[in-house]
Formats: sequence, C-alpha cells, structure tokens
Amino acid sequence: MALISFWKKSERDTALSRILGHVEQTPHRLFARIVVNGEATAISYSALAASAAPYAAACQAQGIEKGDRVIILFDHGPELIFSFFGAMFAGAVPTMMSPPSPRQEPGHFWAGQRQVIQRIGAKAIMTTDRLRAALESVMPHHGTRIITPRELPTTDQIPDVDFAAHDIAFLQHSSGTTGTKKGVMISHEALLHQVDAYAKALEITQNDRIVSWLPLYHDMGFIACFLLPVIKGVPVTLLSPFEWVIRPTMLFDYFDKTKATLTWQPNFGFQHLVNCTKSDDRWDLSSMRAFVNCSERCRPETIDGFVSAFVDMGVSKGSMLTCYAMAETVFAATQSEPGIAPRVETIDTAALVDEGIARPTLATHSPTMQVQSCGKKIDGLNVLIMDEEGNRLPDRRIGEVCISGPSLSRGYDQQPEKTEAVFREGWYHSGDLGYLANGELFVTGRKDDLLILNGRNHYAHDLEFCLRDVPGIIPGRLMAMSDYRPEIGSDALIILAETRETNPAGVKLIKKSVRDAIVDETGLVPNEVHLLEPMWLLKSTSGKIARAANRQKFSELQEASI
Amino acid sequence: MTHSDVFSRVSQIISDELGCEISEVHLKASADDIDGWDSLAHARLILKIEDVFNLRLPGDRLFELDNVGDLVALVSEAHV
Repeated sequence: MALISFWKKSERDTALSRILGHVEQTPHRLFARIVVNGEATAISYSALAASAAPYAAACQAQGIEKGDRVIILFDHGPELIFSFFGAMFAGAVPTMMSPPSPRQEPGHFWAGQRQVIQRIGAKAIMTTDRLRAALESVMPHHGTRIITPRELPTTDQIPDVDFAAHDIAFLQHSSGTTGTKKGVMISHEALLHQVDAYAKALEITQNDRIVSWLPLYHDMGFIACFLLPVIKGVPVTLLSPFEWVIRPTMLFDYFDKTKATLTWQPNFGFQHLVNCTKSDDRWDLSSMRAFVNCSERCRPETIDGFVSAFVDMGVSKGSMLTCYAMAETVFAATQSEPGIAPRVETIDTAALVDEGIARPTLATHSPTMQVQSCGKKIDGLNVLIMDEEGNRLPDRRIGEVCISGPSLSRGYDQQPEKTEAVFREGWYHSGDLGYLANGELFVTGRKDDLLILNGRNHYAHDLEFCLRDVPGIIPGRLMAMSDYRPEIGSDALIILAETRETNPAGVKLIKKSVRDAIVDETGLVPNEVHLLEPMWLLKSTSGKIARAANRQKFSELQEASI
Repeated sequence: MTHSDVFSRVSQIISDELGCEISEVHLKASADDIDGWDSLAHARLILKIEDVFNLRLPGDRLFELDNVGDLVALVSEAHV
C-alpha cells in the first residue's frame, strides 16, 4: 500500500513508525471508540491513517514544513484525533489546546491564544468552522493559517517525511491561564521510552481495554489514555470530559459495556463518582484491574471511600493504584504496583514542619498526617530528593522531588529562561515537596504557590492577576489559596481580598465581581470569596503577601467561627 | 405540581447542596451568583433533583441552562 510506504523507509524507532506498523500489520484492529452524545464511533488503525491523511495533505498544501508548530483546537470527537495525527504525519509539531470553556469570556480566551500562537510561532491552527469564525473576529490579521475539516483535500496518501528519534514529536501545553502556558517539548525517543517503561510498570498487554473521560489537552489523558494505547495497540474508549462531568457514572456504563481493565483520573474524579451514584445503581466493575489515581495529591480517605462504595460491584483495594506524573517527564515518574494497594504512612506533623523529617508515628497525642505512597520509579528514570543547594537527601528527609532519565523533556518551547530555571544538570526540579522511603515516593506539598485544583495546575499569582481591575478591592491586597475539601476530593479555590466597603449590597457586588473576573479569564469557579477588613492580610518584610502566614491566620479564623 | 412548587423544592435543594441562603436563590440567579456552583456541584444538584422528582433530565439541555429559572422550567417540563 502506498499509504504506508514511508514507514518502511525509516528504520528509526518513532511514534509514527510504531503506529504505521499497526496500520500495516493489523489494519482492522480497533484503535479507539469515541463517544459523543451517547453515539460511539469506532476507529480502526486503517481508518485512523486514512482519515488523518487529508489533514497531512492540507498541511503540505499550506506550506507547513517539518518542525513547524501547529495548534489543534477541536472539541472532543474524531476530528481532534485525525487532525493531530495528520499534523504529525506531515512532519509538523502539533500541540493540543483546550477549546474555550462556555463560562470563559471569549475576549480573554483569544487574547491568551494569541500569546501562545505568537510565542511558539504557530504556522497553522486546525479547528472547526465555528471556532474559525470566532478566531477571525477576535484576532483579525493574526497571520496564522487556519485549516478546517470542510476544506480538506481528498486523499489517503500519507506524505513521505523522514523522522528521527530525537525529533520533537509534539508540544504538551501546561494548564493555567493561557498567557502563562508553557509548551513542554517531547521528542519521539522520550515518548517511546515513557510508553514502554510505563506499560511495563502496569503490565499492560493488548488484552487490556482502557476507558477514559480525560481531556486530551491534559498530559494524563493525552499520554496514558491516547498515545500509550495507540502505540501499544490497546483499544481505548474516549468519553467527552464535558459530558462526563455532568453524568460521571457514564464511565461505569462503559467499564461494564466494554469489560474494561484500566482507567486513570485525578483524585477528585473518584470522589465525584461516589457523590453522583444513586443507592440503587448497579454495574459489573469486576473486569477493572487498575484505577490509577494521579495528577493531584492522592488521598487515602478518597480511595477507601471509593472502594467501600463499589466493593459489591467488584472493585478491590488492590485495583486502586497511585502514580506521580508530569508533562516534563512525558508522564509517569513513579507508579504503584498492580494488584497491591499502595502503602499509606501516618507521620508526625510537627517533625515534618519543624525538622523536615517524615517520621512514622503511632502516637495519638500529637497531630499526625496520612501520606499516600505514589509507588516506585519506572524503569530508566531516577527519582531523588534534593535540598535547596542541590544536595541529595537521605530517606525520609523532606525536599524537592527531582527526576532524570530518558523520558525527560527538552524544556519549554521558546522559553529558555523558564527551562533553565527547572531543568538543571540533567535533572528536572519539580517544585513538589516529598520524601523517599525504601524506594517509594511520598508527596507532601509544594515549594511554590502552585495550586492543584481538580487535577489541573494554576499559579496563585496568576489567579491574583485576574483580579487586578476589580473595583472595591484594595490594590495588591489579595491572595488566592487552596484548601483540601474531602467532600469534593480535591482542593477548593479560596480568594481572600481586602476592601473598605462595609455596605452589604456593596460587599455582595464586589464578591460577584471577583468571581466573574476569575471565571472570565480562566473558566475556574472560586469555591469561596472572603472579603476582609483593610490590613488583615500579612505581608513579608519585602512587601510580598506572606502566603503561609495568611493561610494559617485564615485557618484559625475558620476554626474560631466553627 | 405547580411551577411555584417546583421552584420552591428546587431552591431548597440548591440551598442544601451549596450551603447558601435560600434567599439567594431566585429565578434570575445564575451559577456565577452563588459561591461554589461549579460544574461538579451542578452534577450533584442535577442528581439530587432527579432523585427528589423521580425523573431524568435530558443530558443535552443541562449545558444550556443560564439561571435557576431555566432549571425550574426544565424540571417542570420533564415532570409533566
């Protein structure tokens, strides 16, 4: 077949050579089932190649060359997948971006997109006609070519582009407000190392079946539930994140229907399923051998609650796995062992805070905290804990989690300063705080002001910037923070801001303006907005908001009010 | 059940689920007016409403609701 002639020419191992290997050897094998509005579209490997080919041809017709950056901006559906692989087949470096959220103000969304387009020098955007119209009205004369499904050429020929393992395969954009997104550069060899090592850690075979609701613009959905399956030949059912959030138990419907074996989701997803199940709901979940909890702190009580809610339907404690992952290492750095419930340690809170030591304790008279193991490092990677000076710390000492090895990214596209700040001497400095014990990683917190909300990362200073023009707030005297809420299984977003307004109607208006400003720029909804009297917030001697002290003061205020 | 009865029961559910004052829940109130009314809370509310009214709301319409009035109208329509 001319369709797949190119891959034979290249003996080098790349994501594309592996995928096109499946196209040639098992063309009718199911690659993915994509569910939109309850309708499932099954896509075989040959259909994937044939439907991606017109996008590749469109790229070439538009003069897109090897290495050019191409943005993929589609809602959940088959075109999202076809356009991504089409761009890759043409030699471009695609990056999936989140389409605008219905609650986000379009002007803010497109302003952020413009920054990303300009920074990475995107040569084209593949998108829908609806978003094309929005793009052209909000960003006239932006100069980037737009490719939509309506104007694709008719062809099933995949262009002959020569790839090497060290070529950049795609950019994985971090979350956060669009202007501050970072494009993590991932090479074919880093991707394949990750896919092979991670599949080994989870003992994945072609007999597995994956079901996922995760968005593909997020590294967990993109790597674990999209690229890993397509490269390894494991069929995956992809549900819409938009539909899942309102009807989360549709995930169980598809576990049952497809006799699924694997899924991934952040901690809040497990709690959301518990919260949204009716007492008479029943599914057969016994085929599931791994529910992987990742992308925000894994909470022992959430895992226990999930098992006890669904044990009668076949969920076992040994199927609840944990993982520590980030886009900068393609995905997983550590993974707990399949079939075995990951360990939970009870440690002395005072020793953690005062001495930086994770000391296991059975004492009941002093405050303790439970920390969930994220498992051991995957093959080929090194994970260690470093102090501020870059010295390696022994077991049980708290420090920054650092990772090295063949899955490491090259850094952030067009952002050398941000790259140098965290990729140093072959190590990625994650900003996460934690400790190692007998080779297992335990994560305890963050070094900086990163907030992890429902599995997505947002910097507090970034959210505070959204509030710069809110009338009634004293300029510079506000703080975004998060606080764990077991009822949602994730951290809640809390905004503290000072005001001189005392009239109840005025206070209500300011609170609404705060909420609107955050929603408009980010699509995030603050869980709580607290307006405080002038000079309530503490500042450091250098005039910066003292985050830890204010968090403590707020916590004491909350306790006092209870 | 009258439209007013539906509103009264729906607003009580919203107040219970989101922990807000029932006086904050009026027909023109949107999710942006009430603390913590995000997409996860919305899913919990829908489930609770379906349970109390013993009905199933059409999934595609749940994304088009602008305010409490729209939600009450949808429940009234499905409850007939």
